[in-house]
Amino acid sequence: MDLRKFILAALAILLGSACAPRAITEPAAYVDLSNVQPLPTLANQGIAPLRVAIAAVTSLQGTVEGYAPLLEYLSQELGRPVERIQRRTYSEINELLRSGEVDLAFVCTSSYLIGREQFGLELLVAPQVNNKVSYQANVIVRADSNYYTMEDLRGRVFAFTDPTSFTGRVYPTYLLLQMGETPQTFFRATFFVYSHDDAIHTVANGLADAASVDSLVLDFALAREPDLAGKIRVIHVSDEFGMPPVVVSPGTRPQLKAALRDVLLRMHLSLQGQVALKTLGYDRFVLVSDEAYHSARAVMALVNAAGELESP
Amino acid sequence: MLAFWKKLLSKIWEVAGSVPIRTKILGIVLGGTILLSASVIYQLWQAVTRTMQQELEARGISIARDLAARAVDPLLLNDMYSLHQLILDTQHNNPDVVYAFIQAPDGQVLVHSFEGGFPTGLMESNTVQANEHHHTVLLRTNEGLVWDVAVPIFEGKAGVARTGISTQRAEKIFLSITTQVLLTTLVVFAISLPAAAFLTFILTRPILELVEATRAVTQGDFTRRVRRWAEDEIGDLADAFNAMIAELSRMDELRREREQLRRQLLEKVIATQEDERRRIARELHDSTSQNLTSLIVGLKTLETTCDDPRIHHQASELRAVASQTLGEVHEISMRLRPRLLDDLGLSAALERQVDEWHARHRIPVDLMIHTHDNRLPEEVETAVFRIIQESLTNIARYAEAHSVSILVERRGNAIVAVIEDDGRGFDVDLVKKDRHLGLIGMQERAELLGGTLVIESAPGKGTSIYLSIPLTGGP
Amino acid sequence: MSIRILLADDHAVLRSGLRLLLESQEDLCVVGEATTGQETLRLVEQLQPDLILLDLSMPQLGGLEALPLLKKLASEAKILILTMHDDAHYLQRALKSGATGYVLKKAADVELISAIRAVMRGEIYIHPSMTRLLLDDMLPKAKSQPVDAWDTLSEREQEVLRLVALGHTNAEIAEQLHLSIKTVETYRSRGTEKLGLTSRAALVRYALEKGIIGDL
Repeated sequence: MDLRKFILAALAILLGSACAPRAITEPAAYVDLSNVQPLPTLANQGIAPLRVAIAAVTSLQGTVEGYAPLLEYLSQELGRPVERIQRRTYSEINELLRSGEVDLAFVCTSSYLIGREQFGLELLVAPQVNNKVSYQANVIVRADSNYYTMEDLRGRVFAFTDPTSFTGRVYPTYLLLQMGETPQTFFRATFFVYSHDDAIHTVANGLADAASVDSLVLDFALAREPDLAGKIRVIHVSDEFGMPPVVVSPGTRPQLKAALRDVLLRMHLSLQGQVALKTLGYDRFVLVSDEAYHSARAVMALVNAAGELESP
Repeated sequence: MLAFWKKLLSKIWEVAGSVPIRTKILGIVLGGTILLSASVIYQLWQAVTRTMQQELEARGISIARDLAARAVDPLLLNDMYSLHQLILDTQHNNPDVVYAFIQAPDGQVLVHSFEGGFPTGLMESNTVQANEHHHTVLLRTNEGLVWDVAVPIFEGKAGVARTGISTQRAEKIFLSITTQVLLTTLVVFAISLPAAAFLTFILTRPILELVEATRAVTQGDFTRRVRRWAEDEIGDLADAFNAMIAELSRMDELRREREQLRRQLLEKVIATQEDERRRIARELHDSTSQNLTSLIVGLKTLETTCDDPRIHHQASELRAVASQTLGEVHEISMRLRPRLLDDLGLSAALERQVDEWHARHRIPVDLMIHTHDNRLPEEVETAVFRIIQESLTNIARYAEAHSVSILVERRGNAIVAVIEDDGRGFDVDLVKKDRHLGLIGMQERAELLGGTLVIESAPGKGTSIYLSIPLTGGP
Repeated sequence: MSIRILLADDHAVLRSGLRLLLESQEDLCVVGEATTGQETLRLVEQLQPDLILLDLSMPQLGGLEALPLLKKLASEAKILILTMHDDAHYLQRALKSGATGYVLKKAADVELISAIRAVMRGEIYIHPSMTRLLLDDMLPKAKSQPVDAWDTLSEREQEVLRLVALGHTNAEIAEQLHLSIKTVETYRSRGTEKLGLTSRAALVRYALEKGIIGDL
């Protein structure tokens, strides 16, 4: 090929390459993947954190977001880091409380009742919502369904929350016992959703025909998602039962216990505390006694006696 | 500066232009093909590389985000086992995933897919902000290039998911594509090369034929004709060429005829001239001389037989006049055409001629005749004689020579004559240009008989005239 | 005793003039006139003259051809050639063929009578101007250089001279020997100088004598 051709060709190729947009990335660094070292062990953090467990009333992620300000407030007030501990089931948290691996816990009513009976779980404080220190169970169905009474739910699919959840499992079971039924005989199928939030959405999406949820959670969910209101309908509201409390492990030192109580009780007095309370939808924390939970205890005893509290 | 470029360009053009036309066409075709293929392949390579990188990165992000989403609950629940399973599943289900690991919000590695430890430097090599969708970094590793994707888990609150996507598999695929394309190109090239060559051959065949025909015509072959290969411009050229050759041929014919006629005319003129000269010389010799001699003799007789001194004296004077006249007539006759030439031949005539010339001009002439006393054809003898006569005349007139050498030889079947003088010499080309009729005449005489006349001379170097006339098989 | 002369010449006027001239001498007598070669032969046979004045250029058998025949017919007779041709070649031929004398017509007025008398006396008469030419021809040529001189030439000079003698142009020699024309000229002049030759003709003569170039 003659020289002229070569020159022209070379030029053209250069031009071509210049035209093509340079979108190819260059490597940043070099890492030898075969050069492995054992991971360094975490150095002692120094101050031992306050371990706070939160029962999965709402979804795990929802819990994190909801309790973040409160935990932050606690940490500040106590002058120590706060470690958040979550577990899938209520009983797991009870175990942690029992073994003392957790200092403080936000649990469900039934968790308290079981815990108190099993290992002397102690009440610390309880939240006050709408000037009440009690809550109810709401049985919900899809808004566009034809279920209006509990009887309508025969042969339907029911979603429980946690196996030991008072409003989520114990109470609906109690209702059925009242009707002379058991969940196995009454419903076509049941399953556990493990959080009230998810239970609400399960019903809203039609995955289950009905569920029984914490009234507080329901109100909160409806407030957060106005669309939900059009999707679900409450067909049954229970009596008032004792508010899910804040408990401490039996092994907790009295000083800590007093400090915690103190901080929680005065939370509503500070701006930061108010913000934290508001995030959870609480007015304030108040002292409660065991009497508040008698009604709940009675229901639980009944259901327990019927053998319906066994773990699934 | 400009001059330099101009020179370079013209040099390039000189080199490029001198390449044969077939190579040019082939070069254009193949050059075009190569250029096209090269640029296509290059663009393709560029595009595919870019796309693959992008795709790979996207996939890495997708996998990482999936991992992050699935890792939220186990992380929050501190379920290390599930997390580890998740990591392993991620690796297992995606063959391009080289590694995966989860970092706590403070950066510590919680679970990872490596065995025996964790690679140094990997942890710090990539970070992501809580509000970022993802952050990608391309790493060079001992296993090739790896896309490291960092995705925040639960907006960074639960930690960071990291996955490493290897480009090796993708590169292999890419390489195979490239190889295929290249192979295809080569095959196409291999096919197109002979095709192009064939096409070039077809196209240029008439051109080359024209070139060759033109050369033949230059050599004098007017019978060449070119074929009309195609109904295109080259075909028209072929027709025009043929027409031109026909015309040239015709003109050449004409020229030959005219040349022939000219020769014939010249021959005729010379022959006539010689005949006339001979006739005149003869008449002078036979008739006039004889008469004069008679006159002389008669006057002598008168002188002898008459006693009157006045008549005696008168007769003597008259006799002298007549004698002188006889001498002049004789000379004229000799110069016109010596009897010798007809009677005794070239040798005798030349010797006489030289003697007389020498006597007249007092320049020594060395004459060497070697023709074995054989008589030559009349026109040849005449031509040689006349040429030498003319040469001597020229020498006497211009040369200022001190000596002359004349050589006449029969050599093979040609008569060769060389007339040399040591005189002034002259510039042959210049004189020829001036059309010195004498010289041209000599040349014509020689050529008429199929011979040659060559004049070698240079100012100050004397002159040599070489004559050669064939004796058998003349024109 | 008068000398009996036969006139052989085709020019009538000249013949009558000659007759007058001859007959002005008492001892010369013209016994016959012939106009052609044949007639001459006939008359000679018939008349048997003492002297034949013979012109060379007669029609029907010229003088030169008639000579030998005449000698046969009249061996005693003297033949004096009277001719226009003042060339040595004619003279040679005439003498060779048996002529006793050679007189030029242009000098006929002064010499003819004495020529006749000389020839009758038994001498051979040749016109003086002719004698010189004859002598020139007979004298030996200038002695050539000793043969050895050729061997003193270089090979190149010998080659060049050979080709020069053969009649080649300087250009031809230059091409054949792959030399420049100037070189050829130099070799030639040097060579001829060494051999003492002054011209090409002399060189050819030398070369033929020495056998350097063949006789063609």
